[in-house]
Amino acid sequence: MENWLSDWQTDVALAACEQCDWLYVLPPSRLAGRCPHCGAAALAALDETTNKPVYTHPPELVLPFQATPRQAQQKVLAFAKGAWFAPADLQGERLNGRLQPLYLPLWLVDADVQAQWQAEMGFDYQVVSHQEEYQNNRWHTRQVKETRIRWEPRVGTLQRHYDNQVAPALEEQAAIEKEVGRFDRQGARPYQPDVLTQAIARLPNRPPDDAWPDAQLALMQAAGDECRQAAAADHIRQYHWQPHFANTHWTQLLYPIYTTYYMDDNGKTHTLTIHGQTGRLVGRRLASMKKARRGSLAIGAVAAALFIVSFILLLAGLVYEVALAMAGLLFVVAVVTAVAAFIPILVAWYLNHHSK
Amino acid sequence: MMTPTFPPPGYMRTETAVPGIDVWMPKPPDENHQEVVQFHCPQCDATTAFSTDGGGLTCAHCGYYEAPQASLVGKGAQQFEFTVETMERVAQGWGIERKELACSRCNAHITIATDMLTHMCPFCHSNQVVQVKAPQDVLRPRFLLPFQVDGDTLRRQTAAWLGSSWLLPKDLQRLAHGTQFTPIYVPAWTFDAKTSAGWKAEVAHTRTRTVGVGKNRRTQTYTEWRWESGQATLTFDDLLINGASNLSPVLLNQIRHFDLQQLVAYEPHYLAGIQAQAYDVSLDAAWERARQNMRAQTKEACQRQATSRRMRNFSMNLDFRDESWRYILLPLYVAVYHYNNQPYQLLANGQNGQIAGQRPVDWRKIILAIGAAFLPALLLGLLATWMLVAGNANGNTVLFVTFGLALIALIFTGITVSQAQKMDDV
Repeated sequence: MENWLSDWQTDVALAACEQCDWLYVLPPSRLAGRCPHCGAAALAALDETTNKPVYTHPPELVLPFQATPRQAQQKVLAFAKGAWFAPADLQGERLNGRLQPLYLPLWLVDADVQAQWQAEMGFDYQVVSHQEEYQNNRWHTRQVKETRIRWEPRVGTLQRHYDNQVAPALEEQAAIEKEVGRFDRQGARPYQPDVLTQAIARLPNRPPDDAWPDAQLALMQAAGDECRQAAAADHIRQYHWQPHFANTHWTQLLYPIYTTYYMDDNGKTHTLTIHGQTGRLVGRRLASMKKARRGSLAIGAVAAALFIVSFILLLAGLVYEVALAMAGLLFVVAVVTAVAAFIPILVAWYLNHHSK
Repeated sequence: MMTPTFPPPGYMRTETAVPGIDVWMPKPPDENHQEVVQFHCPQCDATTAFSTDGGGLTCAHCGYYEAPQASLVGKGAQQFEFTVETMERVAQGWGIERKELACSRCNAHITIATDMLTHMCPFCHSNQVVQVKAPQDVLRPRFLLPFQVDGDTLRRQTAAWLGSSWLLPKDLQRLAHGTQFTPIYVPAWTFDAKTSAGWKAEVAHTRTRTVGVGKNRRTQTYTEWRWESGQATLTFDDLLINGASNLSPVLLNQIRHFDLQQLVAYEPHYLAGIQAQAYDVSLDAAWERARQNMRAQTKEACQRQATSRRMRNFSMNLDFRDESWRYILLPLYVAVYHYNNQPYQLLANGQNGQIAGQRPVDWRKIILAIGAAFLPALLLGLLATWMLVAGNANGNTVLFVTFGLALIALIFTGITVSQAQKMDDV
């Protein structure tokens, strides 16, 4: 039986979340913690030999955290502060208690490429146009320049080496990148086992074979951009190629994020993610419909009380005429209050439908 | 999909800015530029020339006929944009004033002005077409309208035209038969554009109101000024502007109805034996003239939208869009005939035979006609004067008739003199 975890050169365990299926390598002390992705109650420790993942090798490169835990906590506090009708669980202190550093994997691909290619290259050029104004029986002419694109076909050959083309190591890579944003890979450092003393690392669920089509696409985009430069063009479209790859080399890079979560009224978990380099926080800040309903009911009760009092005053008005005026005034106030009773529900609904 | 053969046919290698990447581009159209194209008959070596009959080349000596290879492009002929590059090149002009040519037939060396595209060698009378290399490729003629009317047809039409008015001398018609019509291709620019304009103006509306009371009650008319605004969009297709400054714009305007559907791609054989001129009205000057025309028409369209033609404080903003141009050659016949030792110029449209030109007016005829028109009024005037002096009561009636006749004579004089002046006008 293969003891692949020893390749990670530190005391780590394999664990999986039974709710979201994310697979982690983590210090044994963190096995009792919750899933950093979905906040599920506990992670299940797995036997490394019987549950061997699709890719087990440790990473070659790691992007260190540039946003400190303190900065991440401040972002979380700012997020939770001042939230209207916040769910009971959406509290800064609670969220900070659940804050976890997490590394996600990414592939960097190097390859020698030989190819024939064809494309339409766009060249910018300027045309002169005119705008005229007629005022006080005189024409005033203004010359304006407009940039247009001339498309021309080009074909060619290519023999180049490309380094560090990005390919996804996770199925969810595109969604994560869209949500969190890109990472600056300039500061990548060789993997040191101590990076896993404080953080959890997710294992790739797309091995190189599976990610190869995406890597080819990245290589094609890089080649297309170089072909555009070679043709001294400003734009490129309809790029096609027939490539042959050699000396491909795959590098696993870990990039850093922080995660935390809160639960809404129905106990559903909502994850917040913080970019490990820029400190940018993304996640939905939902309002509690329960709290909003309670607020609406309270205001509605006040409106009902005002109605009753105004009705009593109306009856009293049969005897004391002055009470009629007060009854009318109170009725108006009761109507306004009844309308205001809808505001908490409407505000909560609006926040939940427009939260990003 | 990639092409099976690499590089594909018709492609040539071009510069690359990245080592390891080679780039091929489509070869530019093979122009096979010949500075001078000469036309000889393959049968008898005499000079061949363009024939309006079939549109091919004919040899006047042995009757050899070479069928035309016309490629009709019509109004779909390629148009060019006003690129910054073109406009900068236009500003530089043709660059040199004269060109030296060696006749390949008799080896004579001659210099010709660069504004002439064709030439006949004065020593061997061979027809030569000069393929002008313009500073920018688009600025050489790429399309033309071939001649469709021959000199004989034109002479008949000229005879009819010269005899078409009583104001002309009677013996003028016979001159037409001896008139020599010289075919010449003249340069012209065509312009396309769309204009979009927004306008506003104070527009006058005549209103009436009743003022005063009792006996002084009356209706008064006054003007109410109301702001109006609107938008107009016009499309201009092939607005023709003359590219030669030495031709009378008045005469050209009279024969301007060219059918651009008949445009063909430029081939030197169309110019064989025919004089042809290069433009001397530059693209930017012609475009300025075309824009003036377009904006005047757009202004007129805007003003037509107003609810009244009386307006003040008219203002408008106008944007030009999709501007494009073409440089073409138009077929014209030029003729000069002499009458009473005075030269008179004629221009004829080489496509449809329309004629315009000076016609010597017979002013003696006109003076006699005007005299004849005033004579009855003069005689009746004398009669009326005599009757009034004699105390005849009908004198006043005769005087009124005299004024009526004088008025008619005056109108006749105005019309006749105006027509006569138009004939002289160039």
